[in-house]
Amino acid sequence: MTAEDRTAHMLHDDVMSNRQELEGVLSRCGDVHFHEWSYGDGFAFQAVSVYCSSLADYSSHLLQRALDEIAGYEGEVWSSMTPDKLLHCIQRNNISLQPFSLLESSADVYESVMNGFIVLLFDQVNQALGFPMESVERRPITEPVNEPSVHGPREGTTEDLSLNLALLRSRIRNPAFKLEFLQSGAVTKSDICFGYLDEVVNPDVLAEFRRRVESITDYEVLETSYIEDWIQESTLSPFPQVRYTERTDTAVAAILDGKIVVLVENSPMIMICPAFLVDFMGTAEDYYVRSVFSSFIRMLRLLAFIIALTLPSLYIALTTFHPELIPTVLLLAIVDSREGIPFPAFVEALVMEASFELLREAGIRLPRTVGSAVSIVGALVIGQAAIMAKIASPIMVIVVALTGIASFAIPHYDLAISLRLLRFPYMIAASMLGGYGLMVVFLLTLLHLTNLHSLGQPYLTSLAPFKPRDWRDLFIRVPLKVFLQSPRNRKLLRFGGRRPQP
Amino acid sequence: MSSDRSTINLRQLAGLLTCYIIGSAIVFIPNPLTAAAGNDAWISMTLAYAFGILMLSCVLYLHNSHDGASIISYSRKLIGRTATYPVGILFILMLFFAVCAINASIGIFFTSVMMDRTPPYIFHSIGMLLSALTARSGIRVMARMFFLLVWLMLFFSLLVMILAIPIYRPGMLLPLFENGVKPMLHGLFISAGFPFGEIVIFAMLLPFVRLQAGQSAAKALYSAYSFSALMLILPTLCTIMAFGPAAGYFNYSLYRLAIEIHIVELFQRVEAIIGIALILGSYMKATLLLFILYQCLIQLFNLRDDNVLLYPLSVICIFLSTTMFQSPADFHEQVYTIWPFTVIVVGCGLILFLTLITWIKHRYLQADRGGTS
Repeated sequence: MTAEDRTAHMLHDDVMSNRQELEGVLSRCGDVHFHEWSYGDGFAFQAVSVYCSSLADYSSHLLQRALDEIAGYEGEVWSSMTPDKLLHCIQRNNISLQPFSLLESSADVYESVMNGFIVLLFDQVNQALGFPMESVERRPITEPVNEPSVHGPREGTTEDLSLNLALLRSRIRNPAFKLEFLQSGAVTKSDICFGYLDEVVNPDVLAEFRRRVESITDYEVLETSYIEDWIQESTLSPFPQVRYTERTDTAVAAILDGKIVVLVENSPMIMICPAFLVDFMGTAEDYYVRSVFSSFIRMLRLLAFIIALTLPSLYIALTTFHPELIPTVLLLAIVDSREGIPFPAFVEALVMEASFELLREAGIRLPRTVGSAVSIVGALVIGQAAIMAKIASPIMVIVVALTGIASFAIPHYDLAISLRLLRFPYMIAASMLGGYGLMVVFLLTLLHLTNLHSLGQPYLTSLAPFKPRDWRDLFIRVPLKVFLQSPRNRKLLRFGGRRPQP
Repeated sequence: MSSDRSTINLRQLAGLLTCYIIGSAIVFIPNPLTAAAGNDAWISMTLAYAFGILMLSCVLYLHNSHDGASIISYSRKLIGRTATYPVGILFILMLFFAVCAINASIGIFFTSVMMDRTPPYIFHSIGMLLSALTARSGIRVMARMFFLLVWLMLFFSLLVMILAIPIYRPGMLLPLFENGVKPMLHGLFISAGFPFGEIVIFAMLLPFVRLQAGQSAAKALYSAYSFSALMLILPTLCTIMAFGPAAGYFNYSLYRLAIEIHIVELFQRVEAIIGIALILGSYMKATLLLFILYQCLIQLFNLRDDNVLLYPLSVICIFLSTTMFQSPADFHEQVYTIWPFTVIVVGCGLILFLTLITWIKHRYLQADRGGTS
């Protein structure tokens, strides 16, 4: 709404015409209520309160007390109040009006009503008072479902933006942690907030982020992923270019690394950008357990990554094109198990992979109690029957199952999905050109990854461009002592603290 | 990160040099070299390396004396605009041959040892497509990507050489100079052309490097070059130690070496690893050569650098690689006889000639300046 529109809809002196105008705008909003009441000597003067019952709690006595205080500043009481005195109170005590806000136009009024305010309109007063009374039941803080950990904090984010911000702020109590707000869309008006650590964040990245995110304020944003799609470089790439978390400790670690976090009202997901491929190999818990164990897990994840991406295609390439590369005894076992299977290895793998994906999708969408039944039926009955019916070989079942397990072992769901997708071109290439085909697709993937950027930063940062310093936190994790003394983002040392100044 | 995406840093340039020199040579060179020079192959190679160092010094000298300009632009300055055209066209023709030979080598390798029923044009076109896509992404992406791949390639090659330790018999390295010095000179001729002399073509990439203050390109490039030479001499030594006089008869000796590996039931039949190293090496070198070819073309004819020409160039290269070599024997002759001659006479000759002119000009100008002041 422009400033002109606002002046055109200034509140009138007459409370009834004000009410009529508001009722026009708020008509058919069943949860918006108008209450008429009177005040002053002999209840001579009319007042109307407007509120949205789904957002605001009208039964509170806080409003009564706050109203008393307005009058109290001028030594007045409501039983002897007149509109003139009220206007005087409101205008004289601008500062002491807290927590009331002064509303001057009807647009202000219904915006406030929609934000959970109780708005009070008085006869012969061309201003209204808004009292913040939002009371919406929210999900309490629970353990993050998607990122559980044995060690470390258990607070997950919720749909309440201010609560999430409180969780973040209580972990970084430093004015250098900046939180900037934007508002999206004319209808939903949801708040978008992005935070970063000043002087630690790369200024180029921040400028690039600002430039990209500013244009989204014209559109409706319902979830953090809308922003992801808006700011990412390559929409058609299977690889995720931002990272999500529900853990505030992960978000804070990212902020200390110089990343930008983005939160949206009504969404629990914290978006971390820019994200690089290597970021998707770590979890918060890596830093809470002993470094030897954590390094072991990292290696395991690398193995999982390779298996999830290539195992079925490797199997196809080896059995169809290069059987001479398989040790003789193993080859005999494979040939033996494949005897009587009517399909080539590629079709067999495709059928199994497709049914595996089906099962997985079905398991996610069904209610939890039924979901487990699907996996039992899928894994036990169908798998066993497929082998008995000679549709698939036992080795293929092992291959597909191992691939599935490996993709579950990848800590970030977004990366696991991209591997699921990429597996199919790998399988097709392996079925057409064997090992050569695999190499070609691998090189194409690598080329794509090297070309990819996240907020202007190379996606393969620390691998290509090669940064040996980052390798202490890649496939191994060196002891925390080393990290704390020389953090990944060296700009963090500017803050001094108890460390010797560099 | 600088905003300009067409420059690389010194470390990346050294990485590219390593990819370029080792490239496919690590798999291809031991065989023709031992066929020509027998046990003296590694001596030929060391001497060829010395020759290469000489060429590298010339290239660096030219690079420094002409403020980092490319060959085409300083040859315009030195021998004139008109004379540069025939020279540049010769260079471009050489590059066409080099790209196609590298590209064809993958096809010939795969059709002769691993996938004999697949038509070679499949390998030619896919390989070229990959190279074209990569070259189009620009030199910075190439530098980043190849830095990873070269380690992968070296890892695989070294793995084979290490696993083959049980079959080495160091006594095979003797006798030296069995048939006099001539076979050794023949080997020197081959390896001085492919791959050591090819450094003169790599000189086209030097203008892309952006040095930081106080950085000198020489040290990094000499070390990368020496490292690459070591990585080429090593497999030659290994194949001689493993097969002795027979090394010259096995095509793709490193591949043969991998076949011989048999350590318990686990490490056997690891020859696919060499296939991987070969694909990586050839792909990187073909891409670099294609990129250099494209750069030569646009610089020589002053064309706009918008990558439009890359795809037509690669199509030409696909056709050439399919038609240029009649048979593996033909390939062998062209690559190990004609190509080294071309590199040494045309490429190195040109660089030496330009160096000489630059040197004389400098001397003369300096003497002149000294006289007037």
